[in-house]
Amino acid sequence: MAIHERSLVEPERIVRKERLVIDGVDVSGDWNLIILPRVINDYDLDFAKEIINSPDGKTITQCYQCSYCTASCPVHNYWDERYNPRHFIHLARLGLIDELQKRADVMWRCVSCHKCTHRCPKGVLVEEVLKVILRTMAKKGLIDEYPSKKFDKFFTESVLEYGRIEDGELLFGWIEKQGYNVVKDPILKKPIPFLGETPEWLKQLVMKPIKSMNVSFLVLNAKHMLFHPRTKNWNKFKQVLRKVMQEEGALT
Amino acid sequence: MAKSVLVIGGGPAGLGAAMILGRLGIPTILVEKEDRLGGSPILNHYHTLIPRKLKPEQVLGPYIKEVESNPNVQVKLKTELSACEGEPGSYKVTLSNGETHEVGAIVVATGFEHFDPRRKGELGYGLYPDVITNLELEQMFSKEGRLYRPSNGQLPKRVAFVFCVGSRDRQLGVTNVHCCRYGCALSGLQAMEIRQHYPDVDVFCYYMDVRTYGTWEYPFYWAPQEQYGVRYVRGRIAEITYSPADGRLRVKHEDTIVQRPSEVPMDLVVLVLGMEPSAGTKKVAKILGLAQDPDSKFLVPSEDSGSNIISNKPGIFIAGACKGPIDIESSLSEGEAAGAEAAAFVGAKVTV
Amino acid sequence: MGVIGKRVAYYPGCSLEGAARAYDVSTRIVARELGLELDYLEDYNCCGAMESKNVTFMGTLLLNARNMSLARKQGHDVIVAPCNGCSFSLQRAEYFLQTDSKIFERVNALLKEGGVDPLDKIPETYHILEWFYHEAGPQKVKEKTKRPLRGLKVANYYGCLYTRPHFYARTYAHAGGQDEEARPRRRETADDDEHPYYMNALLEAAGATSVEFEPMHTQCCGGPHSLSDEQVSEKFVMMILQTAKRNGADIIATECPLCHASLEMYRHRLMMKGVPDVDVPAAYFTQLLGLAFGYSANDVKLKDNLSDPLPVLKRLGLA
Repeated sequence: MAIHERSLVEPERIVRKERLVIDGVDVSGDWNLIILPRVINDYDLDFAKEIINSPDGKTITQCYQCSYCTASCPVHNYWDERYNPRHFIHLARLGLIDELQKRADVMWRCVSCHKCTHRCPKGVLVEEVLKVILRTMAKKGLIDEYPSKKFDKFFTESVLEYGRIEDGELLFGWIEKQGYNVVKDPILKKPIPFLGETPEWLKQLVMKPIKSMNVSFLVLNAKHMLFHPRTKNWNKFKQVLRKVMQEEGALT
Repeated sequence: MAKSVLVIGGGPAGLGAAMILGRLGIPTILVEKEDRLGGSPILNHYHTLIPRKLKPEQVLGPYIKEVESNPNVQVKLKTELSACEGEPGSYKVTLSNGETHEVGAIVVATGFEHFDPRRKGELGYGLYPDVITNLELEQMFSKEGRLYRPSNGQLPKRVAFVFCVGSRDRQLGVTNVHCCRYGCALSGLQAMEIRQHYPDVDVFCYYMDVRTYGTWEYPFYWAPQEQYGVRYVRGRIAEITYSPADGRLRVKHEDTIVQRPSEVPMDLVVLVLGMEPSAGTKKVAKILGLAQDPDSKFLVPSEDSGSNIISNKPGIFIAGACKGPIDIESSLSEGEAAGAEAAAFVGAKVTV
Repeated sequence: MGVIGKRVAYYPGCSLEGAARAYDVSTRIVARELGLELDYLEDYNCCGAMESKNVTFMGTLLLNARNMSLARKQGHDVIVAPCNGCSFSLQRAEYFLQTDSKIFERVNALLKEGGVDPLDKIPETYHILEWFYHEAGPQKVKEKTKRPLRGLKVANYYGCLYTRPHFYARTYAHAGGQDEEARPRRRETADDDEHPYYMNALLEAAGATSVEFEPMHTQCCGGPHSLSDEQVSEKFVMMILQTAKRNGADIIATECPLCHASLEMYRHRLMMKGVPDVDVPAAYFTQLLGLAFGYSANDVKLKDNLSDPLPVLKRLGLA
């Protein structure tokens, strides 16, 4: 049996069994540790095809792995070096799903600063491509719910409903989504700021300068929260948006 | 001083030299060891030539026609150089058919030969019918006009190109450390041809670096990926095995970008062959006393000249793949340049 | 000067109607002073920002195409947006509509179905800073300045999407091929990619001093993840604020309501945690221009800013 360098043996490849019988012989004891191989056995090219066929993902074929994007990326440089756009593109192109899944905890962290797309010498729309990879993974159930996806959906639903977004509702709605117990008014079912649970930083943020603030500003925002600004003549357009999103499988 | 010139080799470089000499009115003897002119592209039935995607007949046909019909050029097929005496300006050469001639200058265009992949036993060539060379793939296209797996005659679902077989390889000794120059580009072209005619066949190129130098970058590296969806994986194939369970090959390598060992199924594996100096090149070098690279044994130009077609012997010019890997159109133009140099050397007075 | 047009469609975007009211009000003041005319885009909708494009490709395109159609209806070829997110979204839509005729036809059919006029022409979108720079310029700002921002050291913060990506914003360098038609076409009006200077130039013309702020002037503030990924945003904002402070800035000038909100929100959180050198307040560049043009702090709604730049400005006698 091969001797493995410990750092190359990820925990998920180690299988421990209480009792192990091989060919009728009980080999339990020191022998019952099985290390699954690291070998790549095949590619999932259907996954890659889905990305290549989408209008915002098709430039993935142009990448030649120079890593200009990764070198420019602030998330890679200042947050987590495991966030590596160049690598994600390679993995997605060959459909190495298990490798993508290993990075699921960082893959959503792109802040859309577009340095990658801006500087790519091959004209790959890197930021778009990465979002398409994530979207495709989510669609195929290959990745769990992640914070930015929740927020994207929450935001898009708000746009779809009213045609416009409203900062206060977005903020408090999001706080509610995160599990804070927000108090809503009984008639319009809108969250009432600061009555229920509110993160401490947010209370501080608003309470401190509130004394110096314009009353009219507060009134305006309170009004917007209660009576969400809407786009007129929105209903018919909303139906079309819904239809398009249905076709893309984006409503699920 | 003798006024005639001997050209050794009837491939692209030799044809280029003989054509120019003929045009300049210099009596020329062209010797070729095979039974027809054209060199490797014609004799080996190449399908499409890089970089201009022309057929060998389109490129070399006019040269052959002109050389064969020009009264100044005597073509001697199935003939080789066997000995040479004398000094610059009057070399006395003996040919394998017994003839002797006195010539003022010599153009050496003895070319290369393809690497024999049996020397890399781990790649399974000769063992598994579905492991073929890029030369055999060319012949599959040019002779049979279709793509198939030699084992069962069916269309492969996946094709892998294995770069640098017999190139850049110290394992074979110091003789094969050079780059073959054409392999990356030709593989790009062949991969595109496959994708164009069989869009459902997935094509993979296993590379260490992609060296489509100069203006070849877009047409033979970017276009295969951007327009034809050819996939490039960085890792040298270390071993090719066969799985009886599904009748497919496995290419064993490390995907160096993912840093994981891989054994991926393939239906057809194409080995991209390196270039070595031909037996004729080595023989002629000995007879004429030409300088050779100590490792690869390719001919090397004179150290005193900036031109790469001037040899270490005055009056002897070297052109084409006998000096190392080269593409066909450069080979032709080197031959033409060598022909012009030889003409000047024998003191031809050219009037236009 | 004068390549974009003096009268344009004004797409303020959702934020400017609420939390970023100060930016809207001060923008209108500055435009009026500089002799430019903003034609409010009636009944616009949200651009989808950085969020909806991750959910739906065609839906996001439609949102922007609707706004373009409204601009055409009001007779405009040019849309100006004061928000990085909005101008990016419109330019992104412009890119896909320009470079793919199939997408363009589909979008037009869907617009019609939704009761909106199809696009007869794709209007171009500019950031409002670009517009001010080209249609008025530093000279005009200088002429209009009544109370120069003397002694005010400003860190000019441009954010990400003002200069990036040039694929959408400036060129139609296109996917695939060496097609002559698809060559990059740089917009003449675009600010410098890596070293933008339009805001520096305008504020300097109004008497302010710019502090050295590279490369943080275009570093991301965490933007679309300000709410969903607090850790990353906090770190990015800390880097921006500390660089500004350590380079001697009194104030950070912003030109995007999202960047502005992110900077202010995280500034406060960082201060609560006791992080040093993060107390630089932020103000929209139009607020500062408004002050220079002689308007009062109240006129440009300086009290709306959560980071409270008033004390700094008062100390320098500018408000």
